[in-house]
Amino acid sequence: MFDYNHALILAFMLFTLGTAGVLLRRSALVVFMSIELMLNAVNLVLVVFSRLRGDLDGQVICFFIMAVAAAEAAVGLAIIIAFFKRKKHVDLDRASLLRS
Amino acid sequence: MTNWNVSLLAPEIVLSVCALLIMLLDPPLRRKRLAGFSESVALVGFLGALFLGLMRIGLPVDSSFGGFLIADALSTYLHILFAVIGLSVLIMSIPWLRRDGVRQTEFLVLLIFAVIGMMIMSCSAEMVTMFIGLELLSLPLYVLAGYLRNRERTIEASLKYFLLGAFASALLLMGIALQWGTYGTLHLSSVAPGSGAAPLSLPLAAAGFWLVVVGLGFKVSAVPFHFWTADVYEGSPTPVTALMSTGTKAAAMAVLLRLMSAGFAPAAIEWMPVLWWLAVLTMSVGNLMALVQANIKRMLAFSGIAHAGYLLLAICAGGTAGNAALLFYLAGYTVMNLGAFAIVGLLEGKGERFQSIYDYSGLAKRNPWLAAMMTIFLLSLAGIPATVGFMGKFFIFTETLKAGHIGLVVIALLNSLVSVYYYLRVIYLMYMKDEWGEKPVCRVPASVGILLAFTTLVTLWLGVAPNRLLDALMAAARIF
Repeated sequence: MFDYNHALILAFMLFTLGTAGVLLRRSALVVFMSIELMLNAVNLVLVVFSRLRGDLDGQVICFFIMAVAAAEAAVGLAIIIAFFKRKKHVDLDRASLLRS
Repeated sequence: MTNWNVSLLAPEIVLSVCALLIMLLDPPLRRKRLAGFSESVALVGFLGALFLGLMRIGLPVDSSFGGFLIADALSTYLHILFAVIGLSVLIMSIPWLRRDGVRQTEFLVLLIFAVIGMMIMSCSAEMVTMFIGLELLSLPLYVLAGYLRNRERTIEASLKYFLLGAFASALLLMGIALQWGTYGTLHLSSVAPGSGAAPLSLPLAAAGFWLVVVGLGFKVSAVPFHFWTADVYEGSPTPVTALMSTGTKAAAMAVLLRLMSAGFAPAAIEWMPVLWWLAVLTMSVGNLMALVQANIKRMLAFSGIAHAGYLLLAICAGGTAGNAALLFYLAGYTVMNLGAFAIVGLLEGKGERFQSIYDYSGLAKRNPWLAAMMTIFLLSLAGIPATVGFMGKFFIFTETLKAGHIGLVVIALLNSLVSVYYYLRVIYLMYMKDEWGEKPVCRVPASVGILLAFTTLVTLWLGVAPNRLLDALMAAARIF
């Protein structure tokens, strides 16, 4: 028996994990992975609701999110690589040329 | 039954075609040294979009793509605004691209795509479309922020902007997913169930709503989601900063406006206190932080945060007149900020060396015209009478007062007083101080000169005779 609550709780756990990763980790790559985790949690929520409502719209939105996530990954990894080439690290705590 | 009227997307289509033309034809033409091709195509694209936007004035409300896109007076107004922003940023960026010897093609293409994203956001009637527009705006901006990828500051700005922007997008998406899960629809006008019950009574719906607000709060750089703003504005190339501070803010603000005054209007009693505090914090933190900045771009960044606070004030005010005041202020803010950033871009010199406010010492002797125009923009940002900044603030404060938020208006007035200090300090340096080190007299290219003359005139004209625009915007705001 498929329990929607369990799936939703799993999605929220993933989302919280991702948020915590963004806020606590200092490596740009790990932060980026955490953001991807959050996006996957969103996809899971959409799929669960889609099944719960018997409405396929949620799954269609999922495809949009995947496409956007892919575009974001392409741009983001390029930026991280450019940063690494220049600085030889991807540590956000040491990225403080601009006062923050 | 479903209307598939593609003509609603005409400005976007024209711009897309121009971007594709540039990408296709630039490499073969560059070998033949046909300089200026890409710029001309981009210029034609923005002028075409502007023309198509102007053509749509007065047409009845129309929707297309199954109701995902809406063409009302608000979206028409914003299309025109974004076309003007795109045109101005293009004009600002061409001398910069030549001066620093940067590759042009990609810059122009990304600029066009970012403007298309803004336009799509402004005419989306539905949250996923809005999100696609937001990403179409953000992804090029991440790249543009780091366009000079060999410069450490720029690439650092780009990285910070990307990580925080993607994080905000993820929060926004979760909000959208929860909204869809609870209501089964994502249309901005009908997100809330029409039953009259408080639409945020369900915990998941409330969480979804707040996540959407936080996601958009990042984009308009509302405090406490503002911490990326100053770093990114300072590190990005100046034309890109101009685009971010005007376009992104206007697009996100417009979506927030649609959201708050359409679908979520019934829940106003629940979000109003939070928005109240958001406005107060945004104004106060922005202005107080701007007081201590020595870099002109950082100062304008914090001033932009403060202005986002005034715009949130207008959302608190609500109503047709309040919305019209917000749209009027958006126009004014856009014009004076574009002018100010155009001057900053001219004066910073090759390699962006002169960005300290002390580099503006004695500008009145070196470049009297530039100093005079900068003075007008700064006075307008401070809200001195006879400028559009004053009129905009006047309308927003009056409407907020009418809506009964007296405390909010008092705080906003105090904030305006504080802000006068840091704007006047730059004017003081320009006129009263002697030059600080040797600096070359700045040559103004003709195109930028025309842009500056235009923004100055609009700043003054709307400050003296705001009625025609305001009446037109009342019609745009009446759709809600």
